[in-house]
Amino acid sequence: MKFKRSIVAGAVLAGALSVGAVAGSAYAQVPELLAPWGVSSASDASAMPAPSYEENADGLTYGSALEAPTPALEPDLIEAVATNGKLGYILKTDLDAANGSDAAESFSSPEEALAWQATQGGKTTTVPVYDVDQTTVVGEFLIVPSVATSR
Amino acid sequence: MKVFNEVRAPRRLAIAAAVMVAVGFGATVAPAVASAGTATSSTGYYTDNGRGYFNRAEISTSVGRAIASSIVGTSNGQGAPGGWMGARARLFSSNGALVQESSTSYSGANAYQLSIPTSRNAGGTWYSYGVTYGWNGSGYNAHYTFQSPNQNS
Repeated sequence: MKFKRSIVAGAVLAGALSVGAVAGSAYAQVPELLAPWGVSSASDASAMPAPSYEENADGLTYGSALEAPTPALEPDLIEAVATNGKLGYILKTDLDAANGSDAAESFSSPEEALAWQATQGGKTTTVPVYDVDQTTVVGEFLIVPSVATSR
Repeated sequence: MKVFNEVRAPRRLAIAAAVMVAVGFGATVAPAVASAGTATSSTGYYTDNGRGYFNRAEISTSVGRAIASSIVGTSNGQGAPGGWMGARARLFSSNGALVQESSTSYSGANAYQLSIPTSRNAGGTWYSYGVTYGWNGSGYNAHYTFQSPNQNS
C-alpha cells in the first residue's frame, strides 16, 4: 500500500513537471525563417513567397503587409489598427505618402533626403482607416516621428 | 520513528506533487511577466553601391507597452557618408495588422549604424518587421528586414 501511494505520488510529480516544462517552452514562438527579397541571411532561409491577396468590390487587393516580401508587393489596402482600436484598412498610397516612402523614391541625392528629414521628418501625420470597401472611415492611423539613434 | 517516517513519506511526496502542480500552473498562466524583454530577428545582408549593410528588426515589450525597432548598419563597422542609410520601424499585431509605424529617418555623417523605434502602449502579442534603405548611387533601394519573433506585452 505504501509502495502504491509512493508510485502514485511520484507519477503526479512527474506529470506536474512535464506540464510546467511544456507550458514554459511552448511560450516562445519563433516563426519560420523566410527571407525578404534582396536580403540574404547567414543561415539557410528560403525566399518569402509572393502573397496572394483577396480583392474587394472595387478590385483593390487587401490584406496584411506582414505577408509582403517587398514594399512593392504590399496590398492596396493594408490591414491596420486605428488609434481607437478598431480594425480596418489604410490605403498603401496614403501610407507611402505619409511615412516618407514616396519621398525616398524621389530623392536624387542623400543630401535631399537629409533636407527632407530636417523639414518633414519631425511631423506627425494621420491617414484614414476604412472598412474593407472604403465606404466608411472607422478611425485614423498615426505615423509618428522617429527618434533616431545614429552612431 | 521508523513507523512515523513510513506514514509521512507518501504524504510528503503528495505535498511535493501539489507544489509542482502549482509551479506548472504558474508557468502556464504567467507568460506576461516572462515575456518582457527584447527579441531580435535574424540578420539580413545586402549591398548597395558597393557597400555592404546588415539590417534586423527588434521587438521590446514590457507590461502594456511594445516597441518595434529597425536597425541598419554597415557590415564592416566603418562609417558611411551622411544619408546613405535610412530606416522605418513597423509594429504588427499577431494577426498581421499594422499597429504603429514611424516616419523614415536617415543616418548622419560617418554613422555606422542607425536605429529607429516606434512604440504603442497596449497589451498584446507583437511582431517587428522593418524597412531599411541604402543609397545606390542614384536613388534609394528599400529592403525589408526579417520578421522578429513574436512577443507579448
